[in-house]
Amino acid sequence: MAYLAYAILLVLMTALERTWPGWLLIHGRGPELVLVSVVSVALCAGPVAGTFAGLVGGLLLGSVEGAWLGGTFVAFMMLGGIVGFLRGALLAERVLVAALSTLAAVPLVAVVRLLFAAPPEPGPWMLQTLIAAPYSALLALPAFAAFKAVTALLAPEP
Amino acid sequence: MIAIAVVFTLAQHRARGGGRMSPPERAARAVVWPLQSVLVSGGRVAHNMSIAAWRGRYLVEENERLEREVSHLETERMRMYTYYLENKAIRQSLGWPASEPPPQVSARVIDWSPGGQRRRITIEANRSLETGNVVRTGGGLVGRLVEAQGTRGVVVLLTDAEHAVAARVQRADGDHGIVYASPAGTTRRLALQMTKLPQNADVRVGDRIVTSGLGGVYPKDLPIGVVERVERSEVNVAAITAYIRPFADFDHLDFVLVDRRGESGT
Repeated sequence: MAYLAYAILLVLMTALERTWPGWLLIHGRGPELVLVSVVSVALCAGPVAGTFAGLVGGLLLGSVEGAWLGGTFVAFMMLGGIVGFLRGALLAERVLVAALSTLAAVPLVAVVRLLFAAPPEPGPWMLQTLIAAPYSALLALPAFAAFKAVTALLAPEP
Repeated sequence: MIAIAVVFTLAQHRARGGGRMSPPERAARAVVWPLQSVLVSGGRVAHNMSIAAWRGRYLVEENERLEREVSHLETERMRMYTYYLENKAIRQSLGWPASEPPPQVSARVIDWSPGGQRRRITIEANRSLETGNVVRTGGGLVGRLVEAQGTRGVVVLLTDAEHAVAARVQRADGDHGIVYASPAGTTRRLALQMTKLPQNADVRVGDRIVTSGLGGVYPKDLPIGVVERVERSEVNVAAITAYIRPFADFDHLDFVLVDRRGESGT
């Protein structure tokens, strides 16, 4: 049931990311809400749920973007798995950790996706990534709260 | 989950090899696009309400100005229609084939890739779309549909770094060239550039650039933009680059027109 709720939230986040209002864009760039969701699910529910979120998020975003799915799957599933594994060891299940993890994850995921599809111009790509990282980290605060509430409601830990 | 990802990736490779879209991609889009449509509508209503609250007292003034403009444009339209009928009659008397404008449908933008690697938008119309349909605004050319799924489709914009349009200077014997997206670092206003011009090309600031129709991807004489700067390479004086301000406002594409040329047979 929790997985279904994560999938529904991921659909919503994908739609939001792709229709982010123009007046909220910073230098033409919005937050990476799908990535934020994958990090949040992984921190709230562990590596399996994180990888699942990466699979669904990668499929949704890759399909809507028209990107190669291989790149999005590798980037997001690895992200979900790694953050989920670190959850018990290094990363606490806290909102600030979600924001900091997102801050680090945005450039890392961008680099992994770069390996599968190189951008036409490196300069704008770097600038866009640098803008997206803090912007996404900021949006991680409410997103993490939403995913945490869903997890607590549908998959309470013993 | 890894196995599922591999299967989906292979399905995509196989489908793209045949110029199609894989079933998982189609399903994902079918789920996300309607939600995007709702979000765009909701966002527009909220935006309009906030503008109304913020600029309430200016709206009456603006409305009056727009009414005057509509009235003026209506007169212009009637004048153009008279010219159209005259042109039609002259063509008929000369025995030339009729030149009917293609049927158009309006569509709204429901997805964009802000600052992404590619400059593409997704549009939604109230009629089914077809790959290859030309997309424009009232002002100028926007791009063309590269993927269509029912009433929704993906448009590659002229500002996409991988897109090129055969174009010409709109003058008698205007020179031909290719219009691309301007490279990074060029001012945002001059989003397009025209290169591959002949050595002795006569391109001037203020020239209008239109599609040449060569290659058959775009029909002839669709307005693209106006030349605002002309540069000759210091290394090779024969290399001319004309920087173009597009007529279409690519930063604010809310609604577009889709030319459904297939229906008119043109």
